[in-house]
Amino acid sequence: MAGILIVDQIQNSSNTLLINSGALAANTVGTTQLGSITNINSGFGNAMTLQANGTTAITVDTNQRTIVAGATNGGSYDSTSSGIYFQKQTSSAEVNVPFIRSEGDSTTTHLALGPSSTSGQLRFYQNGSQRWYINGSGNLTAYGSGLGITFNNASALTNSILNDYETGTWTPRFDGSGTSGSASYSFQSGFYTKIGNMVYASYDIAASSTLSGATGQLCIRGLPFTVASNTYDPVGGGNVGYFNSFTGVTPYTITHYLDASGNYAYFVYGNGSASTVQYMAVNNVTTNSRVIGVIFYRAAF
Amino acid sequence: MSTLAKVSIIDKIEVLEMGHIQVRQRNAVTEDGVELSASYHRWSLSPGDDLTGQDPKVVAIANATWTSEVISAYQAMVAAQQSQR
Repeated sequence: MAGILIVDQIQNSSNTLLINSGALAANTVGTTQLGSITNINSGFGNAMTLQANGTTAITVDTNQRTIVAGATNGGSYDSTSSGIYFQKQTSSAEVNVPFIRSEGDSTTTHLALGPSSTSGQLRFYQNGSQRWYINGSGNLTAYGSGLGITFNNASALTNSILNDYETGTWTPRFDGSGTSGSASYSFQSGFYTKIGNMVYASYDIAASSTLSGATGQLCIRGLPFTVASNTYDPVGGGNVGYFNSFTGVTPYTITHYLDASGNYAYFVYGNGSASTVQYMAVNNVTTNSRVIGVIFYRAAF
Repeated sequence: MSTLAKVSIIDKIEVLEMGHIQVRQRNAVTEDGVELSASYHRWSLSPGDDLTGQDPKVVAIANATWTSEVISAYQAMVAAQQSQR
C-alpha cells in the first residue's frame, strides 16, 4: 500500500535496531521513505554504525565528530578533530586515513576546511604539512616557498619545477654604474612578468633633468628582481625599441647588458666603427632623454 | 556612499645569498574594506645601497645583513665583472 511503511521486524539486541529491508523494498511506488526522522540516537557510550551485507560500513564515533567509512580493520584515528576517515583495507597495523578534517594534524594527508578566520580556505595537507590551499578568492595557492608544478619533460635531462609566476610593476631610473645619482622624470613606468626564474621587464622612462651626482656608465636601475649570480655566464640582455634626446653619442641601436648579481642593466651600443660594444655614460642623459625598452634576465630568485 | 581606499603593505622581503634584498609591495584597492583589486610593485636593493625612504622593516633587515664584509664582497664581485669587459 503506497504511503504506508510496513516494518515486519524490529529486533532490539545488543543495542541494535534492525529494520528488515525486504519490507521497505515492498513499497509499491518504488521509493523507500522512512518518514520524518528527527533523531537517531545510538545511546550513551555507543558508536552509531550502518551496516551493509552484515558488515559495518559507516561508523559515527562516540566522540560525536568523526565519521569512519569502511569495515573496522583495527586502525586508529585522531578523535580530537572533526573529520571523515577512510579505513585502511586490510592491515590492522595501518592507521586510518582522514579524507577531510576541520583542521590539520601532524602526520596525515588529507583535506581540511579552514576556519572562518581564513576566509573558508580549503587546505591540502600531505604527511602533516600544509602544501596548497584554495584561498578566499578561489585561487589555488602554494603554501610556503619552493612548491610548484613538476612537468614530466620529454626533452630535458631532469624535470623542472615551475614554482613561480608573478606580474607587477617596477620603477625604472637612470643611474651610474659607479656612484649613484639622481634625476627628475616626466614619467617612469615599468611592468614585469616572472615565470620560474625568467624575468621579462619592460619600461618607459623619460627624464626631465640631467643625471646629477652619478659616475660611471649609464644604467637603468630598479629592476624588480636581482640578477642571477652566475658570474661570467650569460644572465640576460635586452633591447631598446625607442630612444631620443641623448647627447654625446650617436648610436645606431641601443641594447642592454647585465652584470651577474646586480639589479641594473647597462645601455650599450655599436657605433659602426669600434669592434667592441660601447657603453653609454651618465652625462649622455639630457633633460628630454626618453627610452622605451625590454630587459630579459635570469633571476637569482 | 561607499568608501574607496588604497592599502599598501610590504608583504615580502627576501634576502639573497650575496646580501641583496628583494622587496615586494602589495597595493590593494578596497571598497568599504572589501578588496576590489590588488597588484604588486617590486624593487631590489644591493648591499650598500641608500636606504632613504625604505620601509622600516627593510631598513632593519638591511642593517642586520649588510655588514662591512657583505658590502665589500659585493663590491668586489661587481668590480671583478667590470674589469673583465
